[in-house]
This record gives sequence, C-alpha cells and structure tokens, in this order.
Amino acid sequence: MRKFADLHVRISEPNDEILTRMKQVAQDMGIALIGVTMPQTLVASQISTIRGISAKIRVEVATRVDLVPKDRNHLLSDLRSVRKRFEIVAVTCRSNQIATVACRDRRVDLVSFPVNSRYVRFRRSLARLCREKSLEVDITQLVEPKELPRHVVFSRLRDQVSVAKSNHVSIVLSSGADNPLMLRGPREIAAIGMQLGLGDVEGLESVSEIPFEIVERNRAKLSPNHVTIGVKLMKVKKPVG
Amino acid sequence: MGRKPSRYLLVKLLVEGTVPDNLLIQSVTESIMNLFGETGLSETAPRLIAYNEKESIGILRCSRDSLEKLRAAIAMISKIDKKPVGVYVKAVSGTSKRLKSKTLT
Repeated sequence: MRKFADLHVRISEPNDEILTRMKQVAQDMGIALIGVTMPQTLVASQISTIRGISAKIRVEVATRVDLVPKDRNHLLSDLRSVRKRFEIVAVTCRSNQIATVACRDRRVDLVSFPVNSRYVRFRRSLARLCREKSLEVDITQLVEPKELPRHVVFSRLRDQVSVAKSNHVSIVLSSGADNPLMLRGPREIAAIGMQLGLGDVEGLESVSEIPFEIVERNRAKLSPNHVTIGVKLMKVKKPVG
Repeated sequence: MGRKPSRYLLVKLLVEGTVPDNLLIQSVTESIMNLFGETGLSETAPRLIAYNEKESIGILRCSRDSLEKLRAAIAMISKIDKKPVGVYVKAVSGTSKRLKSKTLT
C-alpha cells in the first residue's frame, strides 16, 4: 500500500500542543510522514525532543530547515551549519545567483521558486543543474494566494512543473500548512498536481515515493555508520582480549 | 442509454463549530466553478447525498470521470461563510451504502 508524506508543515514555535494536533490531523488524512520546519538555531538535543513529541501517534516527523538566503555566500555558510543537523534542507531561490548555487549544491534537497518574484524563474538552464534534488511546489500559494490572482499563480506553477518535467527533475508537492486547517489530504494534493500538468502516477509519486526517498537518503547519510555514498560501516570488530 | 457511473466521497470538515449542508455544497460548487468553469461543473455534477452536521462529515457524489477534479476543488476550499475550514476526503467508494454507515453512526 502506498505511504504518503507531506514534507512542508510550518510550525512557528514547535510545541507539544500544535505538533500533536498536526500529527493527529495528518494521521486522519492517511499521511505517514511530515516534514516539520524548524528554526535554524535549534541544537541536536532540542531536535530529538521535538521528534519525540506524541510518539504514540504513528506519524513520523522529519526535521526540515527552510533557507531564504540573501546571497550566495550566505547560502553556503548556512548550508555548512545546517546540513548535519536537519534531514531536509530546502532553499527558496530569490535571485539567479542563489538559484544557481542551490540547484548545483548536493547538500540541498528541495528548491522552490517564489511565484511573485520578478528576478528569478525556474528555467531550463537551472533545471539542468539539478541533480539528486527536487522542485518543491507548495499548494498553500494556490489555496490562499496573497499577492497575485490565483490564475497567475496557476500559470507560473504550471510553467515550473513543465520545465521540471521536460528536464527530468523530480517534483515534490506539499501543503505548506502553518495550521491544521491548511493541511490537505495527499490524494487531494496529487489531484492539484494533475491540474498543474502532472500525470496521475507522477502526481501520486510526488506525495509518496519521492519525499520518502529524500528522507531515507538523508537519514542514511546522517547515520553514524555512513562513510560516503555507497559505503557504510557494517560491523566494528571488537579488539581481542 | 445506460446510467452514468458515479463515485461517492466521504468528506470530513475541520471547522470550529458547525457548517450547514447548504453552505457546504455551495462552496464545493463555487470551488469547481472557479477552477473548471461551467463545463467542469456540469461534467462533475456534485451532489450532497448525506450529511451529519454535528460530526461535520458527509457524502458527496460525482461522476466517475471527474473524481480528480472534485478532489482538487475540495482541496481549494479554505473558508466557508468566512469561517476557516479544512476539507479532506476520508474514503471513496463506488456505492454509497458503506459510506453511509460511516456517516450516519
């Protein structure tokens, strides 16, 4: 049976009550994994505490950080500090310079392009730089468009999806919810993906296989047994005597 | 001419308080109109079959070929009568019998 994930749940202050409610609603919707955005300043012990909140509810929590860098140097220094603490690293590209680095850097998992930006669009040249990373499309911007009319948001997202598809860049659809009422069922999110130009199988994969692949790949990399890609420590020989 | 095949969706509302059935079907219809226009609405032909206002759970019927359109339209609903809501589909069936037992109990 297909397992579903929503990699973008925004919680301003991760506390017991909000996270428990989010997890309950997610479980009701059939979501098995949520990626919770956390402040960049959290340390490892705080992250593990958050992960343990309401562990009885069978919804996994993946730690995620959203980077909105000012320039390329800022992005590189942020990546150095966050990559080893968070399972998902997402970058919002607000300029071409940032987009080029984010699309090329292997430490970035998800790239997103704001629909209201005049300066940067997800073009073919950027798509061709993307290796082992996905384009993220948040449906919140469609459900509650802020600056632009919905049809413009639709059109820009359709462009992004079309460029990604033609350059074999995987797409992750997520809710971008900041409260439980903004969470959406995974099949509903996939249905919106179909309106954006994805096929029915592609739509479902973008809320199931692809997000799980990202999280599993990063969990393997963050485990202490990981040496490099394709090499991991299986067993440590105990010293004799 | 044979009967058109339908799909029945068990929909759940996340809302503070209650939402009457007429407002629910009105917002679903509006959402389909906004996304797909009148042609899309006529193809989807949504209808509220049963609704439990207290539990905020109901059964919607649509044509089989328009299931994904209805799902997308449902996901777009974020407010009903100026109240913030979340709507999601709990189950889909080809007949209403099984879903009715879940709604009305």
